[in-house]
Amino acid sequence: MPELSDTQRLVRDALVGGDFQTVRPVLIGGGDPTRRLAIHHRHYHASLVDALRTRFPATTWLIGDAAVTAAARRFVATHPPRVFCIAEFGEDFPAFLAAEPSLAALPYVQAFARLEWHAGRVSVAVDGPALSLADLTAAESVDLMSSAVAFQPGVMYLTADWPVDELLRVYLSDQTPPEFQMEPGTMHVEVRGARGDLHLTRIAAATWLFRRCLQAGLAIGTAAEGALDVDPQFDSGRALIEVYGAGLVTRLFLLNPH
Amino acid sequence: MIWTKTGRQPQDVGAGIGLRLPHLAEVLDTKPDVPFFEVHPETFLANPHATELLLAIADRYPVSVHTVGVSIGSASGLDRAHMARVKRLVDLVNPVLFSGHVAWSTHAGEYLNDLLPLPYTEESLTLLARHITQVQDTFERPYLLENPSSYLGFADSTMTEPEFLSALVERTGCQLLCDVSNVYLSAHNMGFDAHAYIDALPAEAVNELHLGGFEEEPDQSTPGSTLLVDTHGTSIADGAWRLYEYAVTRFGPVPTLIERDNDIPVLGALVAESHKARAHASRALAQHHARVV
Repeated sequence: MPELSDTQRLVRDALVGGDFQTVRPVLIGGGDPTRRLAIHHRHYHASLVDALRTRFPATTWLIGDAAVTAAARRFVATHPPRVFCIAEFGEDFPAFLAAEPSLAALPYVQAFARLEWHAGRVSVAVDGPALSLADLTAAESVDLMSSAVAFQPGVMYLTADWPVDELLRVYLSDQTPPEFQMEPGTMHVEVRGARGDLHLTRIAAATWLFRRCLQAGLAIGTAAEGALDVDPQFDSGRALIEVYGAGLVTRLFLLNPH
Repeated sequence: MIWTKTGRQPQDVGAGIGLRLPHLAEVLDTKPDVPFFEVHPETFLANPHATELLLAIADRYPVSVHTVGVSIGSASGLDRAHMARVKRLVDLVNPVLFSGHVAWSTHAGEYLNDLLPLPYTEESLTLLARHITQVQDTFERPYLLENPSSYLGFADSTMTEPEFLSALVERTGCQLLCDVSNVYLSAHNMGFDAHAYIDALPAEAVNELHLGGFEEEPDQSTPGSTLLVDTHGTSIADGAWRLYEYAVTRFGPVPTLIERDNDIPVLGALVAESHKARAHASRALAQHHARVV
């Protein structure tokens, strides 16, 4: 009699990898129980392929349902979920797509799918109450350079080597332009969402780094130094005001020097 | 710790509805006549906006939490990080019922997105009893265990499913969720008597019933036969309704849940099935009462 862990390993190998013969001796049901285990095999693959197609509708629009479905089938056979929420399954799918030989002519697929992944994630965030410019003014006695801020949860800072933000906007607008030129170049994008809304904003490299550092919890002074390295003309005071004005900050706090 | 009773009960022991994402806003807008809603917590863990809507619904309706990823039958153990995430949601919702499946879904850190069958052996019994105790102690509420939908069994099983479930109740003080459609489906697929199965369950432990749709397809393992496949993608079959009436007379007017996970219809269609379940239960109980009197 096999131990339960061995039985479950055999069933797992049948479901994911299609090895039905090794598990056959432990099963009963009908003339050939492996044909019935195939129902679970079918469900594993179909449900996860469907989950990926649901999670990447814009990528499906870009490369076609057949291409996404074929790639998703290979993905779920080699990358079983390691998360319990299927909405969180597929973070590695953009990189998997990039390695698909049939998509080699579309070098921006990974960046586009990655942007879509994060856009989907932030669009279901819930904003908290934002600090106002008056709150910043009232904090004048605080050592701002040694302080940090907490950002809204639905914000993500991404870079891409292709204008995938423009392409995603085209998808979201539901209007196909007569032509769309994909010219390579580094893009710095702020992805912001809440309660179903989504905004993609291309921002300057220094501003991007400043906000990215703030979001990561670094001191305002450190974020400013990093931005100045990118752009010596960077105005950190104005940038901080803009961050507050955009409603991005939910909390200001002094970092522990230790 | 042994849990023997649930806390809050639905105010009306009619039929609740499985609440899915497409219907959240509509429920808040239209406030349908439904005694309770049941949710899969795993649907909400990565979706704060949906959670916000769910909590607003929980202010107006009793909510039942039905886990699909706790995997109490997994030989590789419970995932404590996942349990902690579910517990945070459960603590916010304060559900009237808290349930899961006699199944396994995880293996060595992988989540297989299905409710997979278990051999009914002493080893499985010991493992599940330990895991159920951990779940009940973690969540500080009784756990209702749902009978699976079965297409196959295991050669080394040493007890029937009702015997296995009864032993779990005895060892852990857990309760049972009898999925009537699963009983009907499994009886067809595995060749047992559905009424005898219901008779064999410990009635005092059954505190919820489920009804869901299934579909018939050719049984590839036995040419000429058919299998019923648990899809939750259709309305409830006549045979399942008849078995439901029998279950109601056996278990009494416990809360019933209408489940639909695929090809989800408009909310009104689910509300209509909820009312249909209430009518079936009322008729069955009235006829049963008349026979007894």
